[in-house]
Amino acid sequence: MNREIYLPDGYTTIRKIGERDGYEVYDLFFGPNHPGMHGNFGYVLDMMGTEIVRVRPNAGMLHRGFEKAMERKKWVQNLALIPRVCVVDPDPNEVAYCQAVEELLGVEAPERARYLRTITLERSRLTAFLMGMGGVGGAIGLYSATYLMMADRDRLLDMFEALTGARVYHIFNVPGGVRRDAPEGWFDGVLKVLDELESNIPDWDKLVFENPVVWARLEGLAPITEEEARRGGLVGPNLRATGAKFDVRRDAPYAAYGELDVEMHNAGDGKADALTRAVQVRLEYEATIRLIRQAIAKAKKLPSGPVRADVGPLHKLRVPKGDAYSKVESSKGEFGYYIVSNGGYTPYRVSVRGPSMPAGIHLAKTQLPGVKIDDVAAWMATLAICSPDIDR
Amino acid sequence: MTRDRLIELAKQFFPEDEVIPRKKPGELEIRTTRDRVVGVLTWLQNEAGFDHLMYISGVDWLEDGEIELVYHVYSYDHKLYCMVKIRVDRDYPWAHTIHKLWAHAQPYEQEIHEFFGVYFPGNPDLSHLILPPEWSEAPPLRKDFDPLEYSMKLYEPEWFKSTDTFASIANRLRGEEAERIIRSVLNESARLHGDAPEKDGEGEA
Amino acid sequence: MSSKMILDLFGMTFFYIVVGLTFMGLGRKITARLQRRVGPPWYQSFLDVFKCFSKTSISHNYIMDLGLIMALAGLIATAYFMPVAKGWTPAGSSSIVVILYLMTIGYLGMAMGVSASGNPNATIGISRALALMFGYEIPFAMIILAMISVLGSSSLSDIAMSQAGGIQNWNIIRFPLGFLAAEIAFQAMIGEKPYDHMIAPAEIASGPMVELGGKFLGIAFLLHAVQLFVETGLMVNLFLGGASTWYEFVGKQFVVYFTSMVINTVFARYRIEQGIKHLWVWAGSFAAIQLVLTRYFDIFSR
Repeated sequence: MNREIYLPDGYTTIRKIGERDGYEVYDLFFGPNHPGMHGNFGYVLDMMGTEIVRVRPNAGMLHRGFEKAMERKKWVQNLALIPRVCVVDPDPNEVAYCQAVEELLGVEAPERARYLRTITLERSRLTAFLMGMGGVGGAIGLYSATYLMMADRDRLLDMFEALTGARVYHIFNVPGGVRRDAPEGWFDGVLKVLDELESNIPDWDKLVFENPVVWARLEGLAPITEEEARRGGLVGPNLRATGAKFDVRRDAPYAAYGELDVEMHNAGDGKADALTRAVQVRLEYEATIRLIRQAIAKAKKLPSGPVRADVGPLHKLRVPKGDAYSKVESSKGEFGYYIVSNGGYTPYRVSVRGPSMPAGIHLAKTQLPGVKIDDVAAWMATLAICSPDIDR
Repeated sequence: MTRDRLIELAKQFFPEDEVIPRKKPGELEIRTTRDRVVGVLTWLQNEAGFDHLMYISGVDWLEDGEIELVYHVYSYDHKLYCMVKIRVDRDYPWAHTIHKLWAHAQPYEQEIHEFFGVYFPGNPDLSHLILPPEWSEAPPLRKDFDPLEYSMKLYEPEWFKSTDTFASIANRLRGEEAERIIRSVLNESARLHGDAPEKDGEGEA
Repeated sequence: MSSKMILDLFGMTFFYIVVGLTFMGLGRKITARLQRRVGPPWYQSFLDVFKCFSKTSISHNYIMDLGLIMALAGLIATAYFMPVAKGWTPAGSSSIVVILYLMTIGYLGMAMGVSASGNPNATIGISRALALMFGYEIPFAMIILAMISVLGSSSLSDIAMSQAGGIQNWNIIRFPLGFLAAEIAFQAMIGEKPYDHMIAPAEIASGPMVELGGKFLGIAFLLHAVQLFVETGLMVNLFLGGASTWYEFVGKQFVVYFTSMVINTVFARYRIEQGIKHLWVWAGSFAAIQLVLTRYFDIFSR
């Protein structure tokens, strides 16, 4: 097998000069046990001095065999597994899975459930964005951002707890709708939390996005053009940062997004470097807060009604034969579930399309060579690579 | 381009292939063969504006003796989603690589090679990405790979075999059999806690 | 060497370590409060050191043992030359050249010790530390040159004593540009952001610390504690007018450290080449202007 194909331009020259001067190419393990790595994922970096010459992704430490496990468990039991595919942003998994099952069953979630799903998804996006923006800070040494934004995330988790009883893995969606209606006063509680988050935005701007050192670090790092991003499988904020106007929520509306006005923001125009990608997340963070307000304003006016379509007893759920692909815009981009059923109590096959694989495996091999060791963590943080969805 | 127009064109270009509209609007399916799939995908990418390869899924159809590869492609411009399906022989599975069309197909194919044992001649790196390099069992996502059996073989704890309760429950705990076991466990706990046993046909399990 | 002197040396070593560890604990507390956290108690660093020393540790070879002990010894020896109160030093002299010279032994010993561990992260970390030294030593040396040229003495005690008699005599007023340069260089010296390249957890997994465990990590903590004492003490004696009592000295040191921790909290880390460039361009130019103004225009001297 010819592994040398991923060598960057000029690699041979660098290597020759290096060898003449007595340098050696050595292996450096960036992860799984490394503070700059999120999750049990890793790159084996071939280094010369402090410069990377080749990257070998070292996945598998976190592989839990979910796709195989789902084939052995009942349709409803799988709901406990799928949020764990992406740890920081669990709800898109649930919604994508439930939507695929609903498509096969031929049922549709009631309106109230669709709004509750929308609000949950968007709040989940907020938590992931806060962790992402904090993660960019953490990757370049600005730990204050990590801690401060984590405190904001906690407020959102409190509201999740009030709605679903769980803080991180909510397991709130079921095929046919959501588990329960929002409790009394919950919408107002969310609005109060959103006010608090919004009042903190100027501080985060000053701390992270206007910080000269952050600019010095991120500007010009790992640029990607729009064409590369479109053809290279990059999705979500990474794609929109390059100026492409694509969003699953607008292009193929699901839940209640068809009735809402989803804003489109582009931080860059035709090209995006790490700084543009970081700013993109910041822009979408603010837009998401506005979107939740919009959804809550509409959800409050809805007549009370069921939040779950009748699909019979869930533990005896049998899904008709067929296949369905359902996708959801998560904080990192498009999350897709391809589900095949042969009419039994368990899925025949569940195939998960995580947003991180093209960037985390392919782009790493092509973009990281030539970058210094300083920037690997920042590169990963700005591309929002979430290793659990590579290793699922 | 609308879906109908695309279907019309696809039928014109690939008369041997089945082009089927799917239930949801904006989705279609092309069933083709291994030899024509690269042609279909090239056409979709270059002529029909399908920029985005979302994923390549593998499905093992044990009874048919075939492995199905599903290429999910999406057109940003036309907002159309197309599923291209091919089936390859299960015993000698191989398919053409498409990493020249979409570079990020490389890890997808690598993953399918790893988990289904499908070879992609021409793919630059088919080494194990997730499984350990010394993996010698059947590819794990094939239907005839039993993770439980594998774990028993790998770890062989004595108590696991001696008290057959654990192993037998674990063995039976799937599908319809699971329901009976869950029911009996629930009844048992209800008896212990003095609640009425749960009736059939209620909400969640 | 009299027995009193030996007692002095032991006592002072203990004093340096206590002050340094207290500062480290308070620094963690300050950072935590600025980050909306409660933070560990102020004595956490003491607990850390006790715990580290109670553990068994893995040594790669005897160079690693020797290197770290050499670093600690070098730094403690530097501290003996640091005037504490009224210009008194345990070593009896306080030549600034000796201090700057001995201070590098800390890094060199560390370099020797951790390079012997063979971990590339540690080697990169230590090479960054030595590279950064080029960045801050040059501005610092220029400022000291300016001071020596005014005062005509290279003794730190003399520099400290010359500022007696009120804030208007402090060098922070007389050498404002020099203080600015020194403050930037100081941030690099104690390895806080934006110049914490040596330990950069997200980049090189805490650099030299990566292979240190147990007692070695304990020594590394002590090393940092003594280093804090020496470097904050240097700033106090050079710019903040020295001290007449030891608690005044520690108080001033704490002010210096507090400022540094606050700056540390709100900044990210430069890349190493950006860091050195930043030091040379800003700290270097401030120091050079200060040197020129002091030496040729005689503006800030009395």
